Amino acid sequence: MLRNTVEARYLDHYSYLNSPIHRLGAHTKLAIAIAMVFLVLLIPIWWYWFHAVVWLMLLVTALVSRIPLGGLLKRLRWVWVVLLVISLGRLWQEDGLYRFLSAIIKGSECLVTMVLLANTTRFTDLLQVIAALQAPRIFVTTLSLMYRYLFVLTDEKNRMLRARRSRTFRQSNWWVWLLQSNLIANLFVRCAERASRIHAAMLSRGMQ
Amino acid sequence: MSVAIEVEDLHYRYPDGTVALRGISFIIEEGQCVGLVGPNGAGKSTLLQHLNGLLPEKVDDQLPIRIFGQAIGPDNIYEIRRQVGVMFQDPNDQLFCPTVFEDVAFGPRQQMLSDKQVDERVTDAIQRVGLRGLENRPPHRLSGGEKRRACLAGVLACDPRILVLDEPTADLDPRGRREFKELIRTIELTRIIATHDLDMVAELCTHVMVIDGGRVVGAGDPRLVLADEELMLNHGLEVPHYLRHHHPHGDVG
Repeated sequence: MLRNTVEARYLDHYSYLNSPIHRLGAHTKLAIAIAMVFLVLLIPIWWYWFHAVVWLMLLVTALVSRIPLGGLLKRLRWVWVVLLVISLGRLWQEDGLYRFLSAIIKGSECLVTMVLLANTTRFTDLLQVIAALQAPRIFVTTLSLMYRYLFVLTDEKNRMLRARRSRTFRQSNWWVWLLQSNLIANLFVRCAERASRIHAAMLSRGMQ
Repeated sequence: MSVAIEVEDLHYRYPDGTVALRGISFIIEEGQCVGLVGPNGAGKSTLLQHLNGLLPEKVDDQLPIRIFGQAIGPDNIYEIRRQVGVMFQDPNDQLFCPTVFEDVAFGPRQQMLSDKQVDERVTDAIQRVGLRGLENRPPHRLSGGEKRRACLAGVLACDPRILVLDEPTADLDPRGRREFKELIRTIELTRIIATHDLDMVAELCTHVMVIDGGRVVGAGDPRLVLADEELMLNHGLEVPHYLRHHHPHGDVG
């Protein structure tokens, strides 16, 4: 992950594309996505036609939304690896293969649905819908701060990586791991310092 | 003209033992625009944070700082913060909400205003800083200059009587700097600007205060104080270009 120096502003740029899917209201898309996840989880995998229709719908949505398929797959790869690792445990249970396939297929459908939702809807619109649904305030605030600082921290990580690379003159795995761990520790320290500055900014604007 | 800020013999030591302020005293009258200059580590930011009650970390007793006659103390700290608006050095620390509108609305909402009043305050502040049309934009999609303006709008929306700006033009390109300076000029509040941009102080401020080592080492008319080459060089500064070419008493360069 740390080797990936994607500019922070590209993290959510698919959600700013213009397509019929993007133009749909955030509340509609969220409702459809949640309904889809529930249906996928409830309906067994031997209802083949149902799952075929789900995949077809996801593919059509992806194509209509004009998000490059390669870009979508890139966004899916890490969560998909996590899904795979979690599902592997099922192989040792009774009906292992069936359970494993069920977890992989259903999990993938849910992940693609959510990744499509996240990439066709601006996060700020999603936050508004979540707040309007009377979600706990602390939850909405945590989500909004996470979204806001994802970009700042990604930029910070990229700057540190660039600085490190500009002064790295030899190839050694041990050395790279050591530097990676230093970089992560450094990022934590910077996060803590930034958190205290953000808190000061909140206090200075009247937070009690 | 009433006194906006009165500081008398202010000392401060950070918890790690570093002494940041060593007996600072000054008076700023309402409507003045004061430049606060000094080398890195002089105590400028520490002093600014005292004016808003952010430092010391715990206010148990009254501080030797009076804002419009009120000494800062544990009972009035929130009222003081409403009167003294601070714009911090790094816009990313100050813009913590997901959109410009939400961020500017943060202060008014903390003042428990009605939704209509919040909307009015936000619209007015955004218009004053020239960010109309960018209300729904997330901060990471703003340019450096726009981020600064959004920070300023967030402070102005709190309706302060004193505006404190910490390095407001740092990291801006010359055009951004010029535009931001003009924006600060149009705000008719008591203003304190901590900066290394001495040209801005010479152009914009009615008074200047030079601090170094936690003490005030020079104060007065910027055109005279900043033109004092010996004072400037002794404290890690230099005579601004603006004064070398526009000194009221002739060419000092």
